[in-house]
Parts: sequence; C-alpha cells; structure tokens
Amino acid sequence: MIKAALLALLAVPAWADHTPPPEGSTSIETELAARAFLKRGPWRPMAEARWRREALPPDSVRPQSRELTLGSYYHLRRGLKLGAFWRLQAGMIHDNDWIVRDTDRFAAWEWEDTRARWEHVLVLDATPSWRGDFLPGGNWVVELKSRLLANTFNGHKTLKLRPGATKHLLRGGAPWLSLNFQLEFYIPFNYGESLFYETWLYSGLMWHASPRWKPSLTLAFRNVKWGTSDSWRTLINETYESSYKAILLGLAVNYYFED
Amino acid sequence: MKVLLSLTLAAATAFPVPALAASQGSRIVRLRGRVYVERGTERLRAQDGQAVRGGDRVVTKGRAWAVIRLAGGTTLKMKERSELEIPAPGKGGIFQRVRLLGGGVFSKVDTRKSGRFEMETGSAVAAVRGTEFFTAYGRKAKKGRDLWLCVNEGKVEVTSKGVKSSVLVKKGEGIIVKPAAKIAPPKAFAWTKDLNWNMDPDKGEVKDDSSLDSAYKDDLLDHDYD
Repeated sequence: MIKAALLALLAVPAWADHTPPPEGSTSIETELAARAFLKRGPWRPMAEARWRREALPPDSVRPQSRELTLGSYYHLRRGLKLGAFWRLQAGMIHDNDWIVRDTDRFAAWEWEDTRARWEHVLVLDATPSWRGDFLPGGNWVVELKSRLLANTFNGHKTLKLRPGATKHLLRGGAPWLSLNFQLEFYIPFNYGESLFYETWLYSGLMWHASPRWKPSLTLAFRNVKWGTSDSWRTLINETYESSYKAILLGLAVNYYFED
Repeated sequence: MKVLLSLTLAAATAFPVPALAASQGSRIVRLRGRVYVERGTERLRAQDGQAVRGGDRVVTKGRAWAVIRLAGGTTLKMKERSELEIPAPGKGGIFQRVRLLGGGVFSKVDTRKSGRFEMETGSAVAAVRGTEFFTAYGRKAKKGRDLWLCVNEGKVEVTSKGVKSSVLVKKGEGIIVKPAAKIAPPKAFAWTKDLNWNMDPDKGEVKDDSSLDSAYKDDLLDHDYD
C-alpha cells in the first residue's frame, strides 16, 4: 500500500507527455509568392499573394497558410515611403491554437487546423532607405522596414522591424541582379512571453529579368517562441515557452506594370 | 512614336566657313581596342589614321575608344560599346551632322570652322551653343532610351520636339532627357566630375572609365520589392 502511494507521488503527471508545442529539430518550410506593382507618381499600389507550407511538430498537422495583401505605398520623398494595406490570411498558427479536443487534460494536445480560418489584418508601413556607399563595392541600399500589424481576429498587435541591406549589380544604370540580407524582429504588444515573439534571418537573390518581371529566391531562418495557450493555462494552470525553428525556401515573382 | 531629335550648334561667328574637299582630313586620329568602320557591306577593322567618309558607321567594342577628327573642326571621342553614324558631308565637304546610335560620345566643336553642327539622337532634342559637351544614351525605358547631356565648356540649349520645353545647360551642368517627357531643370551631377574630357593622347589618358551606373544611383532608392 505504502509502495503504491509512493509510486503515485513519484509518478510524472500523464499530461507532461503532452508537452507544449514540442521543440523538435529544425523544420523545412516552403513558400511561393507573387506580387504586382503599379506606379502612379508617388503612389505605388501593390498586390501580394503568398502560400506557405509549414512543418510544425508533431507532423499530425501540416499547416498551409495563405495570404492576400492589398494596398499601396506612397513615396513621400526619395528614400522614404509609407504604406497601408489590408491582408486576408488563413492557416495561421497562434499561441492559442495549441489545444486539446477534450476537456480531459490527459488527452492528446495538438495544433488547431486553421486552414479554413480567415483573418483580417491591417498593416501600416514606414520604410526609410539610404544609399549604403560606406559598404564595399557600391550600389548598396540600406533600409529599415517598419510595420505595425493589427489582427482583427484575435486583437494581436505586432511591430515588425526589418533592417536590411541590398546590393545591386547594375548594367546600363539599371539593376540586373540584387542580393539582399535582412533581419526581422516581431515585437508583440499584447501577446507572447518574450520581447521578440519571432525572428527571421533572410537572404535573397532577385533577377531583374526585364523591367516587368523579376523572379527571386529566398533562404531564411525562422525562430518562433510559442507562448502559453489559453487552453493549456486553463487546464494545466502552468505557463511555457516553446521554441520552433525552421528553414524556409521561397520562390517569388514580382511583376511591374510600369517602369 | 519615335521622335527624332537633333542637337544643333548655332553659328556664333561671322568668319566665313572655309571650303574643303569632301571628307578631307576626316579620320580616326587615335584608337584603342576593337574599333570597326562599317562602309556599305564592308566591315573594316580600324587603325590609327583610318579615313572616315560620309555614310560610314564607326563602332567601338568593349574597352575600346576612338577619337575622330572631322573636317570642319569637330573632334569626337567615342566611349566603349558606342556606335556613331556619319552622314554625307554638307556644303564645302564639312561634316556638320553625326548620328549617335548607341553608347556615348564626347564632342568638341570649333564653331569658327564648322559654323553649324548637329548631334542627332533618338531620344532628345537639343540646340547646342557650347563647344564641349558629352552625350550618352542611358537606361532603356518603355518609350525609348534616356539621354544624358552635360556641358564642359560653353552652353547648350535643349529643346524638346515632343513636349514643348527648353532649357539652357551651362558649363558644369547636365540634364537627363527622358523619352516623350518634359526636360527636368539642369543641375550639377556629381557623377559628371568623373568624366575624362581629354581627347589628345599626347596629353594623357584618353579612355573614359566613367559609368552611367553612377548617374542612376539615387534611383535605387525608388524601387519597391515587397
């Protein structure tokens, strides 16, 4: 009897087997993007469509996110543009999507299938840029893309800061190949457990095939800090922070209606 | 619609234009690299001293340059990858007009001898009063190519045929003429300080290594990618 009681006390709680979003090895994600740009003086309307295939452990769900972004930049002056966009997205994973289907906390935890869940996001953008003549070789552009995102689905507000540098190779005064290097930080205002909810390290190559068509390749490293989901907090009464790492391979094409 | 434009150097002197035999003294005085003279169906590899006749087309390949002295007092220095057509001479055998088909050329015109000179291009109209100026095709756009012009000595009056506008480009200033667009005011472009105006090999390097890439640097801030 005493032996049984001791065993009961020492036993690891069964729910510990259903840990917060499990930290696994680095996953591979793929992304396709298509963008169209128009030029009307300082106004630069833009439309963007993106599809991403993520690989969140465990593999029971392989989310695919889709985004459609519409809006416009306004070039206030050379080297400073502002933007406002509306984004429609589906398949996004947020902290609260780590759930259990049963009220029994011993049941299996999993990611919610959000592929059919549509969310609306308002995006405000301010991007100053400068010539990076101090960098070797010339024809560098340095920029700090700053975006404020407000998700009307869950009320999440995020500040995205993306410093970066792009090296342009020119022919006849026009770029024919551009290499870019960027860091991106997601700063959550009202969610998450860390200062940076998500960080990215990008490198990309754009081929200016013509004044209208510009395909590009991207290699990126992603790190997400999942915070405690409401379901977990309610049933388990604990908090966690779990890290998700991924390598993203992206293919995009930009189309410009005018030079 | 392709608009033919011409740069015209107005006569600024009362001195009579000397009568010269057709093409007399018109030749490539110095060159480097691969320079060709296309004459009819013939293509000649040019040498120093190569005679130039009306109807010839002079072509410079990569890393090549050529200095051409035309009868009438005009000296032209062609940059690499440039193409210049030399129509038949005018009255008195004086070459008063050339046609820039591609690349860039420095022009030094002695108006006392030539009286009148035209630089014909495919993207801009300019009336030239100056004696030393640089003309070059720039970036390709939907309606044609940009044309860059800057003045080292004297003044150049630039008038557009397509859009009624006229600017006077003074020494040290330059303009970019975009196809079928109003000409922007002239200003001093930093990149023009790198131009090599020397046309005399005995006085130093003739080759001009400047690149129009520098002229478009500020445009790099105007691009949108995401």
